Amino acid sequence: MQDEMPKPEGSGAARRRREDLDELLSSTFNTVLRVEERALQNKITDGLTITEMHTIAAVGLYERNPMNVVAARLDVTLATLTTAVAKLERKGFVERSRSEEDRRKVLISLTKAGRAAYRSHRLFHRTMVESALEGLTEEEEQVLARSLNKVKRFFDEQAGERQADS
Amino acid sequence: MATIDTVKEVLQENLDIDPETVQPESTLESLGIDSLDMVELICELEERCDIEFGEPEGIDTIGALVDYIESL
Repeated sequence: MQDEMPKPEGSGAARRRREDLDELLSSTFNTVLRVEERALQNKITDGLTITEMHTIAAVGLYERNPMNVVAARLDVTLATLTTAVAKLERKGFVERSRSEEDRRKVLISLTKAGRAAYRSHRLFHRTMVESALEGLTEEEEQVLARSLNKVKRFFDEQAGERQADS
Repeated sequence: MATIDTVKEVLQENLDIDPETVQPESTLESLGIDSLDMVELICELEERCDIEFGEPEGIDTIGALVDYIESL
C-alpha cells in the first residue's frame, strides 16, 4: 500500500466541499433549464423556446406595456425585444397596438394563446418549486432561501460589473 | 346564458365532455380535466364572459368555478 502524505485536515475537506458546491450549482442550473425546456412541450406552449416563454411572462397577464418597459424587465435592448416580439406575434402569442394617448407609442399585450402560455408557465414553476422543496423542513427551506439569496447577490454584482465594463 | 351553461358549452367544445355529466358538485378530476386543460378553459371563459380571471387557487369543482366567475 502506498503511503499518503498526511493532509492538513481542514483545508482539503473545505476544498472538496467547494468543488462539490461548484458542481452542484452548475448542474442544478443546467437541469432546471432542461426540465423547463421539456415542460414547454405541451399542447399550449409547444414550439416556444424558453426565451420566448420568458418574454411572454415579462409582457404580463393583462398588461399593455410600451416596448421599453418589457425590455427593461428582461434586461435586453429594444432591438432584441423588437425581433422577439415580431416572432411571437407571428406565432400568435402577443399583439401590438397603438396607445390611445400617444399614437406613436406601440404597446404590447398577450393574446388568448399568450395568456394560456403565461398560465401554463406559472403552473409549471409552482409545481416544480413545490415538488423540489417537498422533502425540506421549514427550517431547511429558510436556510436554503437565505443562502441562495447571498449567492445570487454575488452573481448579480458580477453581472452588473460585467455590463459596466462593456 | 347562465354561467354554468357557458361552462358546460366550453367543456363540450374544448374537451368533448358531455354536458349531461357536468354538475355543480362534479370535481374537475372526475371529469378528467387536468391542470393544463384548466388553463385553456380559463382563457376561453375569459374571452366568452369578458372577465379577468386572475390566478386563483383551490378551484376543484364546477360549482366553485361558477361561483368564482360570478363573483368577478
